[in-house]
Amino acid sequence: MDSISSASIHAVYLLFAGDPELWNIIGISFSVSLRAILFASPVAILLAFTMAYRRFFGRRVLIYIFNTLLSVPAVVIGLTLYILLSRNGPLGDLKLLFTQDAMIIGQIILCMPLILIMSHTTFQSSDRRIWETARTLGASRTQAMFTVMYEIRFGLLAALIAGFGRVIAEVGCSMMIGGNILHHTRNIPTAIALETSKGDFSQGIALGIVLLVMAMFLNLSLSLLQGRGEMI
Amino acid sequence: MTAFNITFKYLSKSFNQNLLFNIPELTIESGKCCLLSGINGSGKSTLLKILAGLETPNSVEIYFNNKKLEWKAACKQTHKEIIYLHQTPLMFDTTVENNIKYGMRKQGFPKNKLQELTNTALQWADLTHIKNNNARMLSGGEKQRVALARAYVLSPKILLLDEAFSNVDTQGRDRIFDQICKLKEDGIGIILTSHELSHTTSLADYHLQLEKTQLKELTDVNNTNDYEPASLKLVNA
Repeated sequence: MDSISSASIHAVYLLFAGDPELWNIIGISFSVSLRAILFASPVAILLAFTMAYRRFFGRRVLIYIFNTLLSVPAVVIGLTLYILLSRNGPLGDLKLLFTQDAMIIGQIILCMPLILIMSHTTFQSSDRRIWETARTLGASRTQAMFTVMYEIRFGLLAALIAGFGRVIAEVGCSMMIGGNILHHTRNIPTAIALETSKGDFSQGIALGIVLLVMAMFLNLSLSLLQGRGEMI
Repeated sequence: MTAFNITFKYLSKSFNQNLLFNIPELTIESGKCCLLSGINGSGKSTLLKILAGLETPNSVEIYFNNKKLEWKAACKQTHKEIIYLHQTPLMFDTTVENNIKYGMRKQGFPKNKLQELTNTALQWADLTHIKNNNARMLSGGEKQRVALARAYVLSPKILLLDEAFSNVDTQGRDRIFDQICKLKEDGIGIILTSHELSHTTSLADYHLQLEKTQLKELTDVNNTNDYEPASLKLVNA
C-alpha cells in the first residue's frame, strides 16, 4: 500500500516537474492519435453522408461491414497490419513497421468505423428539411451537404471525440506495429503496459492520470455538446 | 417581372408500386395563384416537392417557357426559379438576418448588395426588430415570415407554399396573408396548399384538387365539394 501511495506521489511530481521522458510519451500519443483522426474523419464523414443521403447498390452491405469493423479488437488489426507490413509481407517494401506512420494507419482503421457509424446515425436522424431548404434556396449539392453538416455539427463532433477516445487509449495495435520504441513509437498505453510489467508504477500512474483527465475532459465536452445540441 | 411558365406533362409518382398521382398536364404561370387542396396523404406536399425539383417523379416531361428540358437540367432551373416553403419552415441555426442572406450567398449575389437586399427583405416582412435573434427561437408565425422573406429576397418566379397558414394564430395568419398578396402583386406565381379554404380562396385564381390519384380543377374557387374533372390543360388563361 505504501509503495502505491509513494508511487502516486512520485507520479504527480513527474507530471508537474515536466519530466522530459514522460512528456515525450504524451506528445507522441497525442500527435499520432490526432493525425489519425485528421485523416480518418473527412473520409468517414463523407462516406456517412453518402450512405445516409444517397441510395446506391451495396449501401446496406457497406453499413454491415462497418458495423462489424466496430467490434474488431485492436490486436486483430495490429496482427493483420503486422503481417502486411513485416519484411516478408506484401507491403514490406514500404518499411513502415515500427514507425509512427504504421501506428497512424492502425489507428485510422480503428477509429474510422466508429466515426463513420456515429456520423451515419447523426445524418440519418437529421431533419431532411435542412437539405431541402438549402437546395430550394439555390445551394449546390456540395453547399447543401456542408449546410447539413453545420446544422448537425454537435452530433458530428461527438463522433470525432468518441473516435479520438478510442485511439488514444488503445494498446494492442500500437504495441504490435509501433514496437514501443522510446522517443519514437512509445505512447501512453504502451508505456503504461511496459512500466507496469517492470514494476515501476510511478510513471504508469502518471500516464494513467493523463488518460483519466483526458477521458473526463472528453466526457464533459460530449455532455456539453449533447446538451447544446438538444437545446437548439 | 417577365412572364414565365413551366409545364409538367405525364407527371406520375408512386411509392412502393402504389400510385400516388398521375397528372397528364399541369402548367404554372407567374402572377397567378393556385389553391391546391386534397385530403391528408393525397400527395400535395410530394407534388409540390417534385415541382420544386426536390423529389424525383417516376415519369415527367418538363417545359420551361415551352422549351423542353431534361429532368437534371430542369432541376437546375427550378432551383433558381422555384422556391418551396415547408409547412413548418426550417430555420438555420443562426440569426434571422443570416437566414435571409443564406440563399443570396449560395447563389453568389454581389457582396455589396447583400446588406441592402437583406434590409429591404427585413422591412418587407417587418422583421427588422428581431434581425439579430436566433431564428430557431422564433414563434411559428415569425418563422413563416422569415421563410417568406428568405424566399422573397431571391425574386423567384414561382413560390410553392405548403400549408402556410397552419400553426399560426389569427393575427399571424393575417400578416402572412398580406405578404402572400404582395408577392402575387409582384408577379410571382404561387401554388398554396391549405385545409383552411376560407382564408385562401380570396387569394386564388383557380382551385385544383388532388383526389384519388387525379388532379381536378374545381369550377368554383370557393366550392370544395362540387368539382368537375379537369380538362387536359389545367390552367385557366
